[in-house]
Amino acid sequence: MAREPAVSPGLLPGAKPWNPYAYTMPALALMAVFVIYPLAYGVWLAFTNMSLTNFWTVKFIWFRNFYNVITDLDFYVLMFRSLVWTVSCVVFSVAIGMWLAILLNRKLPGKAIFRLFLILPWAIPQYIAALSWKTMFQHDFGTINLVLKQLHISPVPWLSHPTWAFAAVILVNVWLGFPFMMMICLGGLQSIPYELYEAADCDGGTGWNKFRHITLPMLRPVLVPAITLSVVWTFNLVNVIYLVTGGGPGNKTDILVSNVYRTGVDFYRYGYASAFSLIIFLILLVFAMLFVWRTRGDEGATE
Amino acid sequence: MTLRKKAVAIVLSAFLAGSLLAGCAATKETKKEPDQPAAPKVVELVFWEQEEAAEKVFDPILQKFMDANKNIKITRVHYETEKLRTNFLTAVQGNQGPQVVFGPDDNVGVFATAGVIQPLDSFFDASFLSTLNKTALDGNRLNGKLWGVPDRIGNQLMLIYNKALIPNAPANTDAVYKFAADFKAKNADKYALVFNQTEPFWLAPWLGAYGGSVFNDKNEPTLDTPAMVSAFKLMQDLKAKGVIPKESDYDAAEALFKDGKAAMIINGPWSVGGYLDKKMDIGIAKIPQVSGAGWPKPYTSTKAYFVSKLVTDKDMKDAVKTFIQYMNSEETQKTLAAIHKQWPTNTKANESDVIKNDPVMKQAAAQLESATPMPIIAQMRVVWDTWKPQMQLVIAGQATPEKAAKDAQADCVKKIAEMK
Amino acid sequence: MKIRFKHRYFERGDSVPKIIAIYVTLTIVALLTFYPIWNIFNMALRPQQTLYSTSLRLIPENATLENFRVMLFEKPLLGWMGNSLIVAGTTALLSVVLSATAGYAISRFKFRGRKGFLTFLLTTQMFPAPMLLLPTFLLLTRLGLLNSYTGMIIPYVATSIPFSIWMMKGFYDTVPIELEYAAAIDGASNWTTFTKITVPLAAPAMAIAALFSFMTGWSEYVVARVILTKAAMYTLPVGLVTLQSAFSTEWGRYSAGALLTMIPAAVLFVLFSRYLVGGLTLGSVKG
Repeated sequence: MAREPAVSPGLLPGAKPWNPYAYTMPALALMAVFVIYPLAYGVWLAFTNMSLTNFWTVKFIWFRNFYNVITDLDFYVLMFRSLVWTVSCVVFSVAIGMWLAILLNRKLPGKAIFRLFLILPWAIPQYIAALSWKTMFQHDFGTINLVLKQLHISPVPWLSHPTWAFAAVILVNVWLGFPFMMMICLGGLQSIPYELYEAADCDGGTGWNKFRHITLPMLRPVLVPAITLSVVWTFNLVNVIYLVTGGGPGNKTDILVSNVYRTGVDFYRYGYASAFSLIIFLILLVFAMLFVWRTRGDEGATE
Repeated sequence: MTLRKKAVAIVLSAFLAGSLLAGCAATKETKKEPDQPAAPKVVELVFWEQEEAAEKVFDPILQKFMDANKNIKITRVHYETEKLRTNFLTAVQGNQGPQVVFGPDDNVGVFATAGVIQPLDSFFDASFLSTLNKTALDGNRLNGKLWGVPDRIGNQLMLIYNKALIPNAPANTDAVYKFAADFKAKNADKYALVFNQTEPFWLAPWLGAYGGSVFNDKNEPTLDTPAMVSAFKLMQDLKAKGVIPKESDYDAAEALFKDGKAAMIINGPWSVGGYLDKKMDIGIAKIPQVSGAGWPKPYTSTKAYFVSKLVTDKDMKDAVKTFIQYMNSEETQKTLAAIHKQWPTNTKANESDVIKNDPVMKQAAAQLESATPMPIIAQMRVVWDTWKPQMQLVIAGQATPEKAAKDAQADCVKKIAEMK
Repeated sequence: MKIRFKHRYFERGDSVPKIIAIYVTLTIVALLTFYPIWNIFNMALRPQQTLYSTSLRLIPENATLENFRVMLFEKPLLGWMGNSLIVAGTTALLSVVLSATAGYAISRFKFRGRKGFLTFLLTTQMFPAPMLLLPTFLLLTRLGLLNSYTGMIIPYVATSIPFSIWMMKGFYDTVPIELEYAAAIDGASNWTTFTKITVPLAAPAMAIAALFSFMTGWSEYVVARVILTKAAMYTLPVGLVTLQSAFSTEWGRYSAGALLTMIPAAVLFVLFSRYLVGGLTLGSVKG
């Protein structure tokens, strides 16, 4: 059977009350210094006017940056695009990853080889993958269009048309992301006892029913953290879009975080970009709390 | 299982210990530096650059310098243009960073405004500065102060043509269209002309041909002008008539030209070396005149040496002076120019026979006569960033030239105001 | 006879057509997934150093291994790889150790701050990275950790722990607590139970955490680029980036370098994926 609720140290025999703190202290200490300090600095910057002209001495300007961010219409366009980007990437990665995991979760000679090929995108650094895909999308030389030509389909302006460009970056990110989901699902699937499926078969369960009522709930404890983190990472992913389309054409594949990069790094508006980042942070925080709370993902599968 | 785990644990702990030791060693090293024995004191100068093929270009010269100046040790670090700028700003914030930075002069606007470099009028003697071309020096002035020591003028786009495919350069755009029509008929998979269609740096020459410019005298952006609209229209025309490919960034244009699938390419002096290495028979000419308008005016810029504001120690200042003066001496500039094929700023080097008779530079000289200096103010960054998306949209057929020009102007004005 | 053969190698519930369909699907997907990687290999074999080529050939004309030779022997690629191995390896090790313990505590104990800690882990991932570069640099400078292995490893561990802890907790949740009760009854302390029983069972999760942390250290270049200015300390991504210039990148060399970068990572994945198949506990406590 699966899981038990967390117990307090007193109940678990052989454990002292200070055990949990001892176990978590090292990780917490490390993060306190190397994550909290930069975050705090970033938050502080958000309330200042640091920019190219105010590089060495900065003034505290309260909420002016935030006001500038949310009164800019572009913000909402970018937010919408970030949402579409994130949802598409995560949905497709999870779907494909789970589907492949189910296919591989059985006795099948040679499945180790398939698994190896399918996990490779995860072993490729993003900047290399982006480069390879960028060449594949090129209008005249790219593999995809060359193949389409062979099939007598007219070539697609992958990188010069905003909608196609958006599809292109989603495709690249899904290619990069599905192996991760596949491995998570594979790991989770292996922990589902076979007896459950057999029992369902006896009761006359169909494939879809078994999936919905056995597989999905049992995968919940591992899938929810993975999806939550994946949403957060994808929402804030600068690299893939930057490397494949540069945000183009015409800045139409930009998402919220690429704007942070542009205003902070290209225009040196450090204060503004930090405020922008803080707002993105709050958006994601609200999402995470809602998502984890609604799916009760921090609890076990049987609760 | 336990035994194996123990073994693994031991190996990995050793690993960890080793790496921590290595880390400590590295930090100990950096902490040791201030305590040096009396004289001669060895000054360690860190030099950041973004030169193409930097190893080939700089390292022999740096070695010669260090041989001649035993008390100065130079460490060269290469960064790409954007990273150079960002990392230098970040480094100086943390009181770190190189003493000397070498990059394009549009860094002046950024670095000077942020206050991360120091003015050089009194840093160097007037006698040294007088050996350099005055226009180039002026190009590195902002608000009356000199911020960089330029070592070359150039970087201009030119027309480079493959003599095997087109024996003579076309003089104007009508000739280009005529050639393209014939060429396309005979070679379906080839293009008459290629260039980087994603960066406005390549659009700027055409803007100049129509008499436009991106800033007016008061340094306000002027992106919504008839000249700009005409330049956009020209791009659409070239694409519609099949003269240029539907999509082409820098690498695609290079690939086409190097593979012999394009007759002409608009590119800069830095690229010529690559074509010559491939033994291509190329010619260099002025970018063709726009029929019914003027000659295209590509941007020229200088590349200059900047000095970090953190250089205050007298010994370091002397070392920096010696280094920069050496790099801009007649001999060094002659050597460098032979490789990068651009005009040295040292007036004596400029007039030397070696430079005057270099075939590539002779052909490129014509273009320099029809060129315009690239603006170096910090707002130029905003111009590039707002111009670029509109250019891409126009070429993709997603926006009309008129709308694109209007949008670019509005966006640019807004963002410049925000930058304050 | 035939049925027994089939049962030995395949699932009982899978019919022959289903098995064939699965093989075909997996093959197609595997090949499609692999092509972009082959593309890089293709680029590395090209002698012209161009990014694009007009032919669809799987092996280009005049294919040559020259680029690999140059990268391995003339450029300091092996040095870069050594640095990356140390950085990424240590990151993986530290990350697994720290997350295995912290994840265990969160899974097994109800203690004050438990929920807060979990949420905190999640929130550390939410602040967009570009703005954290400057303060991270300032912090590392102040601690004297520029151009050092430690300066790279610690931020990488700090950023990869949150995921690892969540992952370990999730998997610990599926390990029945009866096992630990059983051990405690035999008089084991919590630490002993943890190290001797729970940890080995969570091997698959540790494998995922290790792989993930390794990849963080292996392919990160934004922070590395700012911290490492001494060429001797360059990691692979930083070294490769120095090959790129605004205009004249030698793509053939770059691709060869990129492929050589991928190989150690791929090897690691193959080795570790065996742990992932092992499956989790279950069935070890009956009744």
